Amino acid sequence: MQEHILTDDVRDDLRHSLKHLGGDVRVAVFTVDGKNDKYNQIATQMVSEFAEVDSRIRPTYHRLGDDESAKYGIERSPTIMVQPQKQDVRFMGVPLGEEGRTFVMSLILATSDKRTLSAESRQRLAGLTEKRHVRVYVSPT
Amino acid sequence: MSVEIVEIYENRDLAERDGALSVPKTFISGEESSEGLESEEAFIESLITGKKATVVVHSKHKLKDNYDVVIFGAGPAGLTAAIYAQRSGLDTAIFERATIGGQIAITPVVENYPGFPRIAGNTLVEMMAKQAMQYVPIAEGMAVSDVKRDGGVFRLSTERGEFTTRAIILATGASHRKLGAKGEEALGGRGVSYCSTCDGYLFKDGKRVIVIGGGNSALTDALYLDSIGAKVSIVHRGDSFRAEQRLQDSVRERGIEMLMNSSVTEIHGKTSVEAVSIKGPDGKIRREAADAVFISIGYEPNTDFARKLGAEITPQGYIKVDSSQRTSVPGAYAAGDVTGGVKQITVAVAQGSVAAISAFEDLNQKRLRT
Repeated sequence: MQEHILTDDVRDDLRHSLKHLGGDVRVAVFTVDGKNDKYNQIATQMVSEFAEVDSRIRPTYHRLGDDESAKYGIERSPTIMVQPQKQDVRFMGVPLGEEGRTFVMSLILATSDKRTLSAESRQRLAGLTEKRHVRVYVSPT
Repeated sequence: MSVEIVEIYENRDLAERDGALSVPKTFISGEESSEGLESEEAFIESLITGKKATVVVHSKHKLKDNYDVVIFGAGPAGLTAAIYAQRSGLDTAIFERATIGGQIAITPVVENYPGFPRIAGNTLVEMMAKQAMQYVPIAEGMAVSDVKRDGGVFRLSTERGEFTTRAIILATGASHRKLGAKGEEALGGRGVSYCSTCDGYLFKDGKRVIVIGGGNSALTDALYLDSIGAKVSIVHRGDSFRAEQRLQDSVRERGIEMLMNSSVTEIHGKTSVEAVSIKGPDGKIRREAADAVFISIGYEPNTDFARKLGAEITPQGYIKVDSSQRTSVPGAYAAGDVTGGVKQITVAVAQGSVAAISAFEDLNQKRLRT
């Protein structure tokens, strides 16, 4: 039997955190063989284990080169998109360690009224009309 | 708005292209906007302007031209000093040249701060900063270019103009000591690092890393990097380590290579670290392949302002203070790592409070006299 990525303790914590989900959230996993194979497997397994913890997480799995990956212009494996039909937030590489928290927060923010930015920041951002693309380089530590 | 969160180990080609081997590093529409942790205000500012944020003032309080106390530095010592100073009735502001938090912001876990058995360093300092912001403005990114004592006040020159203050508290902390080797600056963030827990992950799985130093933090770095699977060599210029025996034993047990009486004279690489030149005990220099160099040779206290004001400095290079955190310059106080000692968060916050109370006492006495 395949070893779980999420331990029982982590599952308990995750179950608690995901109580804040506001509804169903689609998580699309994109992979291709021959590139980061080990991490492709971890990404796929991790997202399916998240779905086991909370059934509102709705995973879909895709291959680089298929219609869905072309639609979103996915070029990297693994890539995970959160609620791709509504927003463009993508994790390139598996969000492990510290980034696991960011991933969980992105699921909550995509589905609920919960906000982490201050009212002042939101007000300032509301005035921004140009497109912005944010890229943040991270590691699990 | 679109967002990409890029894990550097699995996307090393992108990370190398953008010089992002040190994380976090943020780009907005292709332009680098920040390296290291960034406050929400600074990030929003960059998002809106499309440029790197310069000075960001936190808190509901606006900056004024004159203060009773200006605190240099927003680490634990400066933040605590601010809370005490403003609560005692002194009009106070914090000027921080980089980002709020100081060294503690990059400390993964703190386990010796009473009341918090285990807490992330950045979480702890965030709580301190939020508390301080209730009382005082914190000007982040505010570099003071000059400080002069003029009669009973200090005049501070900044990019936001001149400020005057009746007292200053220097809580400027300490920075990682540079090795001074050729290639160190050019390859900074491209394999040369001063923080193994921040940047080590990329070099797991057999990458060749050099750790420079012989103290506790160097050996801790070496053990951490070894534990994630890097191939580690420690280069130390002395013939024995200064680190605790327990750490030395662990390094030996793990079979980590130790190059004693040796030093790194040059770090080579085009876009990232490729090799180092090591001078051995025989004086001969040999070139060895390496993917990263972690430099852990102590800290350099940030004493520029104290020196400019003519404050007394200890033989070890720290600002000399008395038991009330007064420096040798009237009206100037110092607290935290910049004063030397054991460099603990608990000590920094204690010294910050003492410095603020001393400033209050001295300014009040002055008021009574005038």
